[in-house]
Amino acid sequence: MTAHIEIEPRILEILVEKRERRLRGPYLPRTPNQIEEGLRKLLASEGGRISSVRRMSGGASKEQFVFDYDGARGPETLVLRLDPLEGLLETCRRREAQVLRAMRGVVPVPEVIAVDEDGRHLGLPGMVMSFVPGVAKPPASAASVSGLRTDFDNFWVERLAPAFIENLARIHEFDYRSADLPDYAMPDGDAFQMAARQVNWWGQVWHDDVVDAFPIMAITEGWLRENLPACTDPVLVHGDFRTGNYLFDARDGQMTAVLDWELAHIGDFHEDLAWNLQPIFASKGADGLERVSGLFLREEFLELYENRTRRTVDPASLHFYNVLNAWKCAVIDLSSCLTAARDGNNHQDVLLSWLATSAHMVIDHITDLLSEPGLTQRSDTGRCDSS
Amino acid sequence: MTPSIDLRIATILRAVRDVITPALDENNHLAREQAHLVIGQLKLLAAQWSRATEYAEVCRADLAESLAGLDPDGGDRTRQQFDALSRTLAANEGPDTEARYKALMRASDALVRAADADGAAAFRSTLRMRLLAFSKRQAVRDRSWFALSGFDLRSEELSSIDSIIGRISS
Repeated sequence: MTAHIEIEPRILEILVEKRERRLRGPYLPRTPNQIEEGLRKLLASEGGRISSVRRMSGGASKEQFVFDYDGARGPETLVLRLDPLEGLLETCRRREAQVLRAMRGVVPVPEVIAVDEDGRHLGLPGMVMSFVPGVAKPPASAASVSGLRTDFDNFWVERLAPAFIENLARIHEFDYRSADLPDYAMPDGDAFQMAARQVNWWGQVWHDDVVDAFPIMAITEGWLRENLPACTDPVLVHGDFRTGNYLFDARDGQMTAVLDWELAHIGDFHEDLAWNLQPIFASKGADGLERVSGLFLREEFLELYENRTRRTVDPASLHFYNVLNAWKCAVIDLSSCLTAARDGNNHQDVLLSWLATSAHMVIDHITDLLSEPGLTQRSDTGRCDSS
Repeated sequence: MTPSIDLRIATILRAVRDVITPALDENNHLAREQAHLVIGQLKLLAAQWSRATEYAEVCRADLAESLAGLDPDGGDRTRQQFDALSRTLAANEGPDTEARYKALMRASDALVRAADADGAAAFRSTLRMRLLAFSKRQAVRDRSWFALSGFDLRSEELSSIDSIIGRISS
């Protein structure tokens, strides 16, 4: 496989940086004292006082710390989101800060306080944000790691489902062309570019990080390249918009923050919809039916989105992004997770090797999607998942 | 061989679950989460270690059968990778069954990519269909192999490891 060149320029830069950075391992989780020292350098111009640095739970992708800060704005609690040496995702803190700043006032997001884009203060790239109160799962709910398999009863579905659709719609309605997003590649008029960029991005990740070959990955990549859908209405895509990546008030269900913007890009709205159709992000309700992000039946989710946005879901595009997203999950689980774990380059190697065991559900989903008639031809089917 | 691997895994599991995890600082979320993951990994290892060779052989044999009788048609890349695949299939000996299975997976993957580059359409289609059917069977097997990780919502579709490797009838 030859290296791809049609990747967003900033994405390609960070993938190249990763190839060099992974050689610096193994990685040991940072101590609160080390973090405090780095924060002092990063926030030196503010002159505030840092205290009570402690590690947050979660953060399968990045190391996360919370600390108290008494600076020009008065006492507050802040969060540090820090790159490990290698993780399940290689993403850019500078891009994430840009999109978070752009989304202020559009959907609830944390405020960006400071960015160490090249790691000169913290040792590795990181970003300091305001602390947003809230929970990622109901107080009495069961959930697996990384927000997977969160159970909601009707009380929570009634409160969270409308906000879920509303926030997704607002993100897709956002006027990204007028926003300050210098590290985001804008569309240049090629209708197939949105889909091609994603295939190229994740194809490059697989190429760089593959541990064990799976012929289904090559078959899927070939299918994706032959079935790129046209996108005439590019939007800001969150890239990981699902249950587990938003916070809400544990008392009344008010959504307090949409998190984890590291995969955001300009693309096709079907991508965010199809991300939620992945079985790995589903939960079973008390009635035994699988629910999208634990909140919606599949058709209900698509209908609510269409009604709110006045967009029409195209079955062929949805099918393509369903395949793309499943393949992307498999790329993450079976390559980047395992290289980081193998090399000891992450603060949660044991979690990464555990998450990788879920990849076979994803591959099963891919085989169902590709077992449609016309495998070697352009897809024109309306089937979108196997549920 | 005494004490056995099963016994030692079981004692490590008990130590982590009953002694080490309760002693961890309640505020050390990273350590507590990782302790629970260690327990989960140990349970998986206990279920898998003695069956790993037989399991790898089931997977390898299915893949080899899926590739049998292919008639390559295409350009130089396709023919070169088909020859490499044929050599891998022929090298059906050696103590490390898992390594032989993974070598066959690599050769299959390389052939798919080569056929995408210069394979004849009919050959590409046949190759993809055979490997897709294999991948479906393999995905269900691998979901069963890792069922104890608890990610799978559709446990009714899974089989026991012993039935997969033929120790008991399914």
